[in-house]
Amino acid sequence: LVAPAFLDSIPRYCANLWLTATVILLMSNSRAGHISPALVAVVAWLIPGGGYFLLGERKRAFTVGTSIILLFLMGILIGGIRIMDPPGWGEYGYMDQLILRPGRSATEGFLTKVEPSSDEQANDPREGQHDEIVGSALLGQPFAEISDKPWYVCQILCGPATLAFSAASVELARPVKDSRPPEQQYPSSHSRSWEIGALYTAVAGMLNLLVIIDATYLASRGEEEPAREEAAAASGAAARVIPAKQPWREVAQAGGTRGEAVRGEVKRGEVTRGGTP
Amino acid sequence: VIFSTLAYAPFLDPLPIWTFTWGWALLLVPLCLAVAVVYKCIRCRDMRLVPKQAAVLFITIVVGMILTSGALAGLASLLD
Repeated sequence: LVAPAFLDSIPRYCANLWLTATVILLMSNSRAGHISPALVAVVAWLIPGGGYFLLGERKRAFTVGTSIILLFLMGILIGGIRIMDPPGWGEYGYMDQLILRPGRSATEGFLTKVEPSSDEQANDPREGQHDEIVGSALLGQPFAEISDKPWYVCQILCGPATLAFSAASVELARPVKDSRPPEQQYPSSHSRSWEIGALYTAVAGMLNLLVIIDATYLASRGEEEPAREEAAAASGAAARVIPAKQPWREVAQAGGTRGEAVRGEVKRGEVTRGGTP
Repeated sequence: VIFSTLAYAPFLDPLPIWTFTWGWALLLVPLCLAVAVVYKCIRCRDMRLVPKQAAVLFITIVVGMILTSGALAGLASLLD
């Protein structure tokens, strides 16, 4: 019953989230100070590639972000906008409702999910006089709703773009006014169109998850550096040489500073201070 | 085909790939390319290495998929 207001506000929330992420990116100076891994993770989710951008990895951020966004958009191009099928919303774009139907006795009853197919049914999903409206199926049975559409878990990893396209999909799923039986202008795709579209959008989300994890890991390595360097200085640890052709992750693990390790600026045979080998 | 193409609205309607017998299989190529590029962007220290390594990975995935599908098709025809 609160679905329309909630639905209308989704694009606005998405726009605010993007604006916030853009401001963070523009104001950040990756070479000064350390960046919180949590902030990197959040920005990496909001804008694919944004986490690398915060860490000063501009080329990597652009390449990764472009690839993921293109993959996501191609999924929608192949499967149509209705490929975005959020849990809790039915075939006709109305929020699924739970109603309590009376049982044999006053204490017995059973919950039934109703997928409304018209404005009237969405406003009053009861089918009998004694039915009681419990509320949204997504709030009442979240795990059941999500397990019905598990691909959405992968799609949501693409960030607020998924929410915005889902809001548009739900809006376009509404039946044409006064059509009996309910007829949709943009019905869901099926067969290979649906499968490949869902595959593209879900893989885009999973790739973004890899990118979020990697960027957060690099940011967390950077946070550990000051403490490690202080400990090394206190114990008088000897300077070590990072061997030639050492992978950049090993440079980070061997005690190279965050900036060196993250941006790959350690040159062959360069001397650096380290703590733990 | 003409009518379905004229009525097609990009991003709103699904791509009419069912009109092509095997054309839909080509849609897996951009997917493999994106997976190869993003994976190599994560793995490579130097971004200059990404194009070459991503190309190698992309070719490996595509050739592997072609060989696997050929083997499975052969097995299916044998079982028939």
